[in-house]
Amino acid sequence: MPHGDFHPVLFVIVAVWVLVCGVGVVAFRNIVHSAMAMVACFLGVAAVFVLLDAGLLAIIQILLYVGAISVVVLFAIMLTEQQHAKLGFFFNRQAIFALPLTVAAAVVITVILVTSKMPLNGSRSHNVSLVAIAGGLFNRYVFPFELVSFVLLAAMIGAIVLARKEDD
Amino acid sequence: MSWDLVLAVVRLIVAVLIAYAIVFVAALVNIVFERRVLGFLQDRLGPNRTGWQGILQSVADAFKMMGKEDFAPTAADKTMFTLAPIMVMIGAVAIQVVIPYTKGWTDQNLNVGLIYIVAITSFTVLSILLGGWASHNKYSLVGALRTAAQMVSYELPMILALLVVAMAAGSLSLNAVVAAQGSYRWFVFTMPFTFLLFFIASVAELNRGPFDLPESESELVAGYGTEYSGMRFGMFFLNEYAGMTIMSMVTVTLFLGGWQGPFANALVIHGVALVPLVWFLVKVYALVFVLVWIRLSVPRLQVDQLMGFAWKVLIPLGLVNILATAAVLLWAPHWKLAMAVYSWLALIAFVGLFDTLLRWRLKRQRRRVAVLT
Repeated sequence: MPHGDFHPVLFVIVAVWVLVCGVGVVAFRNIVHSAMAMVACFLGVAAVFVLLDAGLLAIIQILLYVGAISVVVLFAIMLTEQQHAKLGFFFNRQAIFALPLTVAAAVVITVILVTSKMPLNGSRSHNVSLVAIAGGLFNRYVFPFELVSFVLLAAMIGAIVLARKEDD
Repeated sequence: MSWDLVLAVVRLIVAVLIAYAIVFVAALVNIVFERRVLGFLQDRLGPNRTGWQGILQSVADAFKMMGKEDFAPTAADKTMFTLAPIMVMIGAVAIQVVIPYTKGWTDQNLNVGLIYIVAITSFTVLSILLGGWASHNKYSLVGALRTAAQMVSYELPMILALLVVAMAAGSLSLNAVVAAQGSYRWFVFTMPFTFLLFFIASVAELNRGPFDLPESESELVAGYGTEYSGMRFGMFFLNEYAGMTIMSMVTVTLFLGGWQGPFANALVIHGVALVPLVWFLVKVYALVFVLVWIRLSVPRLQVDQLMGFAWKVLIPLGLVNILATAAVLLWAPHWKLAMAVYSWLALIAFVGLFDTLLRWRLKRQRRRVAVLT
């Protein structure tokens, strides 16, 4: 496969895959099946990155979402949830609030997509080098980067405080 | 439909088949290899009846496994129970995309090969977790959770060691890592401490002794694989043994100079050098031998010691190692020499102090327990 060719047929296949898996995440009644659908969905997103010639993003997507987040989610499910939990009907009362929010989010994303100047097709310049990303992270955007790490540190300390036993 | 596309697809399929073949052959070879080496080290024979010196023993075992009943427990989640053994091989197969087997032979010279290795191995954790859950058995679930906890924990020191390699090589591409180790400046010589950290973490990632808690028979029946039998069990088993070769390939590429060795250009066919391939395999199997040796020599850890070792020993050491290497790279005038000196000193200090510190800690712990009771 030549690099940088944004193939429309492949994109349609991957997009349908992502959508089907996304519906699967909410539609499956077994929560572990939902989690697996989520993994498949993440893989589809990684495939989209590959199609856009953003190999690094694709690999980071797999590393973080498939390798870390999904494993932690599965871990949490297996440690806490009752197996074969009976969940309610697909649409519950929260649908009233969820529907406008979803529509609003869809509108915002569509507007951004239509008005943005991001070239999605036929561009080979998207394969940003690692050096450029590192420069951005550690020079230009070092303050937000440190801020995010501070938030993560706070979350970590919180987790440790919660997990500690009282009598220790 | 152009011919180029058809050709690309056919090439892809053939490449995947070859990668699978390598995994299966490596697993079968490793099983016999381990049994014979264990026999040799324990002063007994080991399997030597099937074929010359027993080399066909695991082929026979594989056929026996395929002939067994395809059995799944009634309470098991059938789809996931089947999916898990299929998924478990993905890591071992896909990792081969980036491994430079020999001079001028990589499938894809990914410029982020090191991250790719870490990312793709996570499929193994996922499928083990899934298999343990789908079996609907307490032993399986506990075993799977333990395995996942172990593999996730030991991934961190491995990544920390990989970062040091990336810093020293100045690239995340595996070809560049091999090139950086030219003229016998292998990273195992220039940074042995990093190698030790990586090697310990990689043995734990492989779930092999002394880190073979996921299937500690004495506590968990057979861990996540308790309910698995026949070829489904075979897939987990083969993956584990293929993992020895695959992980050794990664280690050789990162620390032992990859395919480099004397007479590298002696025999070249279609741009693929054959002699380096031999060096590569020799190094890989030397490491596989070491893995078998370690399994026999070191007793299994306890589960609390296992987690403590990763989080309290390996990860802090890995962080300090990164810091020190970065400082050397930035400020030392002859950084290669300075890094080697630092790394050897760190290795000697680690090996020398480990036993003493462990004894001291144990003594303190015993005193505390005595006070409590």
